[in-house]
Amino acid sequence: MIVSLSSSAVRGIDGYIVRVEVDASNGLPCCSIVGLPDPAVREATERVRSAIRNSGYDFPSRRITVNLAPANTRKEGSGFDLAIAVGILAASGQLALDESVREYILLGELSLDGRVMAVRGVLPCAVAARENGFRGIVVPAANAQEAGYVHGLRVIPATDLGGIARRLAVGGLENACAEGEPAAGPESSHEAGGLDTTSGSGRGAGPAARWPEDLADVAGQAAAKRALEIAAAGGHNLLMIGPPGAGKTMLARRLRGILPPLTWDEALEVTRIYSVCGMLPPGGGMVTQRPFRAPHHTISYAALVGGGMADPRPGEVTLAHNGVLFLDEATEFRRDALEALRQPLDEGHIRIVRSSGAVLFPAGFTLVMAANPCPCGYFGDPVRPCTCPPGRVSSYLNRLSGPLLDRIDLHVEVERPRFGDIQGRAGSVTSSAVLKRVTAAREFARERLAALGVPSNARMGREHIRRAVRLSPRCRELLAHVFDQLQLSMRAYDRILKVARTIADLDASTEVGEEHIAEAVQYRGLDRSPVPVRVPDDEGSRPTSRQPARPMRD
Amino acid sequence: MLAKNRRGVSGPAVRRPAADRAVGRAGEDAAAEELTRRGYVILERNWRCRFGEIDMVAEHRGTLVFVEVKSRGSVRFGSGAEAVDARKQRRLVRLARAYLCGRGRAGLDTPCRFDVVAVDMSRPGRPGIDVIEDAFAVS
Repeated sequence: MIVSLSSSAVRGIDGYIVRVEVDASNGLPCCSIVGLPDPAVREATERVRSAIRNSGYDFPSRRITVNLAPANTRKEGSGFDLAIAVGILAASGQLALDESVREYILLGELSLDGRVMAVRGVLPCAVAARENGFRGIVVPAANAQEAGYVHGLRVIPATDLGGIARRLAVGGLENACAEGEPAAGPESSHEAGGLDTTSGSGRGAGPAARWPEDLADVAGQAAAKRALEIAAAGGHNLLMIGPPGAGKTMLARRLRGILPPLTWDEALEVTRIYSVCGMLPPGGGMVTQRPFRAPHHTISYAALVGGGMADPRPGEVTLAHNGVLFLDEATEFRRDALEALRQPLDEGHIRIVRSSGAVLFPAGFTLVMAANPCPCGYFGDPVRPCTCPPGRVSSYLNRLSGPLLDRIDLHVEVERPRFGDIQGRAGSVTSSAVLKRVTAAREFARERLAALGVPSNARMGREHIRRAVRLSPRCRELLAHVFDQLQLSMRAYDRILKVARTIADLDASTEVGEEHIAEAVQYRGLDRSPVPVRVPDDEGSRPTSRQPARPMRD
Repeated sequence: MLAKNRRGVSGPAVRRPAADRAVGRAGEDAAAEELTRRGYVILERNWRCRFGEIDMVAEHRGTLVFVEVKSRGSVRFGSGAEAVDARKQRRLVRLARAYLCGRGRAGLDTPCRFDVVAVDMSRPGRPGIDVIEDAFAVS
């Protein structure tokens, strides 16, 4: 007898439907799984065998063939266990399945005692179920809340094989509602998560973050704080350069406290990614805060951008989607890893191609980098001399390639704080005040961005900029002057306009004025001065304070 | 591939001491008695072919059962059931296939099962008999 059920698996961050066919026939007892199973799927045989026996059923001593269709894609993970077990019970005549089971997706891993364990990627599978016209989805009880975020899909939580088998038996699915489904209906689960159920794109997905760090903790650094505010409001990429101990890392960490709240749709995207990575908070709640990822500089290329041979996994750039990717000591990162950031910075996603096919991961993040100006860290410091040999200084920041720097909207030099700055916290801007301004600016820009179809000012293309930024003749004049003086690239010019647009949003101004452009130009520090990026190597041209204290080796 | 397993190809290659063989023989008799009591119809005993020997072939509730009997005079080295390891399982599967082939097409479509009977004769008196139904499957 052949039984056909539906399950689901994840490729990239998208779910797809897998048909699970079980055939029990006579012959030498044997249980084999075909359809390109990976080891975890092949081992399902042993888990299912024990789970069936320990749930009060017999594992049939017959020739059992399980086919996972489509047979030409590699199946991985343990989510097929439940469908295989139910299929074997039905194929061996121990369970008469309800007709409507074919309209449900079965998902779950089995433990040896028959309990249904949580699996990764339930949310994308639930999305796939709805898109393919399924009526409902059977998921492990621990994943029920996650599956409930998909509207119009009935969620049946499963705790153990015996229980769910009785539920799927003839007549069990109709009266299922009467039994009550904990955290199953979309409404109830949304309430359980304390979230806004009306899914308007402008609504917030959760309360604003409450972080212990506050911008007021950082002494001085008014310019850097202003740059952070602009970065948060427009989603602009930011590079901070300064000596050690100036507060670059402190400042960057405080960025997450001033990021605007996620919209419902953004939160759903992020939750989907974290669902695939198995990184959702316990209980499978929604991700309500913008991600802030700060990988260490020893990170590998594949861990940063995503990778893996047969089944590519999302990397840090994808985990930072709709949030911030912070690279501390950016110059210490591997060159190939940094250069791989170019595509996601431009396009908001990354395409990973393997022999098994290509997957597309979303990677729309705000890049924040912090770096020292030279190996010793004091190049350009007004007091403390730099001790690096001159060649090292120029080669140091050059590790950040031109094309990469070109993609950074805001360059800020963070100076060592003066004693007076350390003394009083009074007057320093607080995170809550900045967050209020940032949220207001996003709100101000919302309609315009929605019309353009981009998530933030930073993501605008040239055509978007042309439509969003209308320049007065005086602004044109100013820009023409700046363009020639700084010998800007076309990309840098676009970035100035985008940053100016955000600054105008912070001012609640529909027009981009001269003062907005003037401020935006200030953040092109590395375009403006040849120091410290392109330091001339000959000694004579360097000011005395920057003389190397050590004798040169070469 | 068959040549790898000397015992599988040529039958019991190791000449066991007479005492062990006596234990084995007595164990099989005790096992046959127990299985018959449980409703098995013994079809063959010590069915031999060029791959080796099946201790018993029986029919039980419409299923063809291949029985491996392991007798132990002492449980010091583990029970008889533990002695049916992966290699012995593969050998039994091969023998079962050979047996089914001998029965023609009908043989391949018969529900089948592998049982292991562990006979413990370490204590005087009636041997302890443990029948493990559906002990393993073709892997």
